[in-house]
Amino acid sequence: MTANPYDTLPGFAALRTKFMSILEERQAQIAAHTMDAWNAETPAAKAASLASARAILHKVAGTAGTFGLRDVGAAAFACERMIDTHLDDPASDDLSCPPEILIEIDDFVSCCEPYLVAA
Amino acid sequence: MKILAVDDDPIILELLAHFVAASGDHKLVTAESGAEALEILAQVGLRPFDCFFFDINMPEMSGIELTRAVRENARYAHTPTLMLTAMSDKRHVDAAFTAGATDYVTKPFEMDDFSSRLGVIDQMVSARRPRTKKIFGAVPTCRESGGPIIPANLQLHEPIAIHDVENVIEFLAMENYVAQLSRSALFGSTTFAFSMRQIDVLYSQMTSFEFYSLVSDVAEVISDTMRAHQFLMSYAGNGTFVCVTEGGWRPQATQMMDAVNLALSRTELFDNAGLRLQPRVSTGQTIRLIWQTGASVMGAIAQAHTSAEAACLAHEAARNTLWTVENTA
Repeated sequence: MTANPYDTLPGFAALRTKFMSILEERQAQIAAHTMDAWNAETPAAKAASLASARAILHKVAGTAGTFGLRDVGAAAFACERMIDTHLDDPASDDLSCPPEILIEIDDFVSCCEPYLVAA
Repeated sequence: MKILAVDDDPIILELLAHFVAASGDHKLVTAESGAEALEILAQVGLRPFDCFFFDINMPEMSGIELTRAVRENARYAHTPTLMLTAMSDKRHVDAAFTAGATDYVTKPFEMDDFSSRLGVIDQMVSARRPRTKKIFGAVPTCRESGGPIIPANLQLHEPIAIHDVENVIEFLAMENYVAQLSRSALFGSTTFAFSMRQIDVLYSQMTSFEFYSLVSDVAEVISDTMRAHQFLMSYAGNGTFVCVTEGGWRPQATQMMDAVNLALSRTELFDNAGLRLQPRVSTGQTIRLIWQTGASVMGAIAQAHTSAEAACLAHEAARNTLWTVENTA
């Protein structure tokens, strides 16, 4: 795990342990929402699932760096941007969940793995 | 300081609690939504908050909407507000400062950066505190109920926070805003300033309330005159409004000065004695912010400020010597 400058801050180690536990939950939720988007039968349902995944990715993007997981934060941010671009694109109305998003989310999930294993 | 932090991510609130505790003797109250925050602020008998931390991206009520709502409360019209957010694009930065944010910290934030910004706000709050005590101890100088609180001894050179005028932000917020602008955003930006002529005379003849009202009214006239353009403006003190334009608009200073002075001539402004006030402004250099970074952006703004004040003096000097020159000849 990346060295963190706040390790000496009182209570920070416990907070990081909590963050790792939350990250594991969030990683699973993001994967589940993305699969829901992939499997959904209507564009609205796909968009709703992607928006749910995006909301969780946004939280990871905003916190992971502070806990020393900069690459995880950057990967989450890249997924968030890709989903935003897709949802804002008028042409995506009748589109599905593009495979590129799945690949990007897969990269994010893989990026989290070593940290979660080490935690 | 007593701080209210609002974020829909509980881990951020816990993180803030650690950072705030490590940054000094502060009391932190947290809320997970804008609605919860407004409920807390509406509680009667609570010691007021000195500072706010708002996340932007929250469901139902965003941090920008929350800032607007909080600014409508006279008690919190000038309370320093830090936006703590992962939204770093210019659209959100602009919206946050326009809504009344004082500073903007991008997540993931670092302890050192956070502590230093908190320190700046702490100093600002401490500097305001004696004045606030005097205000509440003396005869209230509010415009009306719900209006802004105006210091009884407003200083000529002091920046004044004006929150009711579109595109006008606090001077500290302006400093923080330009620090947030990326190189690409600065590419199409220009700074220039309007300075009120004979401001020292106007100041010496007015009460603090009258002076504040005059500055607010002039700010409104300038803002209305530039309505068609993208800009942010701030009252920097001594009768000077500094502007940062965006979107590639490069103003012609003389034309803007004439347009504002024409609008001022058509606006009926009076002091408390019913005497008509006829403020006029001068403009100085327009300075492009392209290739400027960090401190040099504020340097450019300072240069615009100084040149506008110099233009005022030059205008007065020309006015005073016009007939003398002719008589001599």
